[in-house]
Amino acid sequence: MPPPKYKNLSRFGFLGFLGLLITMNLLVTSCVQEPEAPQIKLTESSQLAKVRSWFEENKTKLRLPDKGSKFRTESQELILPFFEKEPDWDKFHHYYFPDGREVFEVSLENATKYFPVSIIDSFPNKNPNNYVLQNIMFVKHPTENRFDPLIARYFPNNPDNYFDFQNINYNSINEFWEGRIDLFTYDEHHLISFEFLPDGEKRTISYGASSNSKFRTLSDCREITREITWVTPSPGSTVDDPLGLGATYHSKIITEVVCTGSMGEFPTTGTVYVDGTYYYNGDGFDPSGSGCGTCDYNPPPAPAPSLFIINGLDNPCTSDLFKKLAKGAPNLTDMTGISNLDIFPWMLELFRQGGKFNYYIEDVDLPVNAQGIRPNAQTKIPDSQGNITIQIDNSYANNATSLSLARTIIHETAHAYMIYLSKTNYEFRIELNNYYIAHNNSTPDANHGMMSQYLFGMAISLYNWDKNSGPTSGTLGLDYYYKMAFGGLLQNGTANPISDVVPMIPNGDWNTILQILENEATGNNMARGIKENCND
Amino acid sequence: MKQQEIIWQEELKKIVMTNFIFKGILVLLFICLTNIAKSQEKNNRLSDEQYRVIEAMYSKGKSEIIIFNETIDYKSWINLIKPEFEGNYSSCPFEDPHFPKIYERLILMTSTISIKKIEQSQLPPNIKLSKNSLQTNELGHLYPTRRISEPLIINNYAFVFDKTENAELLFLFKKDKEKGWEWKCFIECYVVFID
Repeated sequence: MPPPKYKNLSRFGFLGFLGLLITMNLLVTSCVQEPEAPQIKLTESSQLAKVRSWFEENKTKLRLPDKGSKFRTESQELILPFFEKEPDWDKFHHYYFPDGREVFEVSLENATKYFPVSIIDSFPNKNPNNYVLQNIMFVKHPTENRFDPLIARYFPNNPDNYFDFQNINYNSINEFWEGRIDLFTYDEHHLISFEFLPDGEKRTISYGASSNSKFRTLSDCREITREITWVTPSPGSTVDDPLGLGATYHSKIITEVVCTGSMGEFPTTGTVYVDGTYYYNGDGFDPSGSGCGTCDYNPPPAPAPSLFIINGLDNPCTSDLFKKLAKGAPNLTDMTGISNLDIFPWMLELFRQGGKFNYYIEDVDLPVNAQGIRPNAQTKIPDSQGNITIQIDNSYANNATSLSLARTIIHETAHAYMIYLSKTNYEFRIELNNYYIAHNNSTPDANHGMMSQYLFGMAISLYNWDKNSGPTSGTLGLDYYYKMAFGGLLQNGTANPISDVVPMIPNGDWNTILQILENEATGNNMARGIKENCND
Repeated sequence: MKQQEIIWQEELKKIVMTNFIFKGILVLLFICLTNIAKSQEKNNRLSDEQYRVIEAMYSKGKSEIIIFNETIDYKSWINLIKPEFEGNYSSCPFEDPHFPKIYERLILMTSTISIKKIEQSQLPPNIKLSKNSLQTNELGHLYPTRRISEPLIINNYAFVFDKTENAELLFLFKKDKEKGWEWKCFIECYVVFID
């Protein structure tokens, strides 16, 4: 009898089953998720690449049309000689104007720099070139695929107001900054200037024919004449190049119209005049405002620069105190009489740099934390805009002496500065990492441990603040300010001093320091500082 | 009779085949489920390499570290570290030309983060595990236990998210052929200094 066929079938079935098993197993195991192929993300850099591409394609066309033979010769408008500008594409800011237009502000640091003659007086014995910042702002057209540029030049009033590229841009001017911003078209027609004065006053400056009735005079304006000079690197006549240096010195007397008041009251667009004729404004190239349909370059209208408000304090005492600390940074580092102290180099730099990085201070009702304690103040790391926030508790501010408030603001500013340094200074970051390891992976302890290096600096700043602005005029004795500077330098979650400051405690008497801090924080009758009432 | 035998044999074949296929499907299901269970079990355990990263994270500290005995599956930190790796800040400066790709992989891998048990036996003595979500400090105040994410390993880089009361940090490690995993830097996703 032949073997039953089912045996053969079963053999086939078993092989088939094995095949099926393997196939299914492969299918099942193939269900285990594999990492997806990386996708190229559209980043700011790639958006900037579009701007760059547009600029490379159009840079030779970015000129306003010549209008009249007297252009640049008899006109009183400010026109600087044109020079090729090569943006440093690695250094840029990305932001939006209030009307929603996208802006890429790119550094022109390596290009030829021009500055008003007056700036030379602001930097005695120094090269103003090192303090002038010039950027090119590419403003995306709201509907067309174009990025017409403007040139922005930043002239600080003095070296203390010099901010590097990272810390100033047209959309973020520190409210305590003193200086001037000039806005030009790409081909160097002056649009408008903005001046930020020491007392907080702001002015706009326009150039042009003084008698032109179309000149904006919307506020309290006055006319003055001034000289502008520039140098071109080619041999000039003996008049222009009397020493035969191979450079031509140009000079022009122009009329300035200076308007004072809040910048918000002024037109937000620049105006260019040629031969006294209305030539361009933000709406277009002719008085009817119909624009320039055939122009290759369409200078975009620009709003006034946006101030970055640091001081958001509502409490008048705290606000006034903060202004004095922020504006008086050079005074805070006065070492008269104490200059023989061995001071860590970063200590003074901390307060010299105060205000040169973006932070914001406000007064709030701080919540009671998990330990049932309401903090006096806190500092947060940068938000999505890169701004560090300091918060002062309202009830603390209402009870504390001004000495305690000044100490707290100095302490929190030190935190803010350290956060800033940790993001910008690699060596500092490495040092902070070492503190992190030494303090058993505790971030607050690492920062307070490192801040102990600023202890003398904070004490001296507090003393100088009181001497110059405080109610007790620096008469409390350096020892008292020194003890105050220990405030906040605690082991996280305890009342114990951070280990780094223990050797610095006078006579090892920590309780005395705690008592002084408590007296000043609560403004009790043991406090030697004074609780000020700013509402009177 | 012979015809009946043939019919019977055919019926038998059908029964055997049906039985065979039914059992085969059961076996297949069993194997598939076992595979899935094994795969899940494997996915729910930290690998040896991940333990080595955790070890490197706390190896330099002076005293013991207490961490929660499960990893956390918090993922939104990926959005907070973007400025650091895209050049706005420089807490973790890198010259590695491959790092942008690593960062892209990191973004993709965050979706796989899950809660996993941490085994004390796999850790060095200075890292203690706790079942309690709160700890008590020397003043008797309660504070949350430190929690970490499972280490995400991409080529010779590893990333661990570390969450304490006042700080949420992303640690970055790089593997050295001789020294093993080395802590390179950390990025602050959230830090508040309370005074």
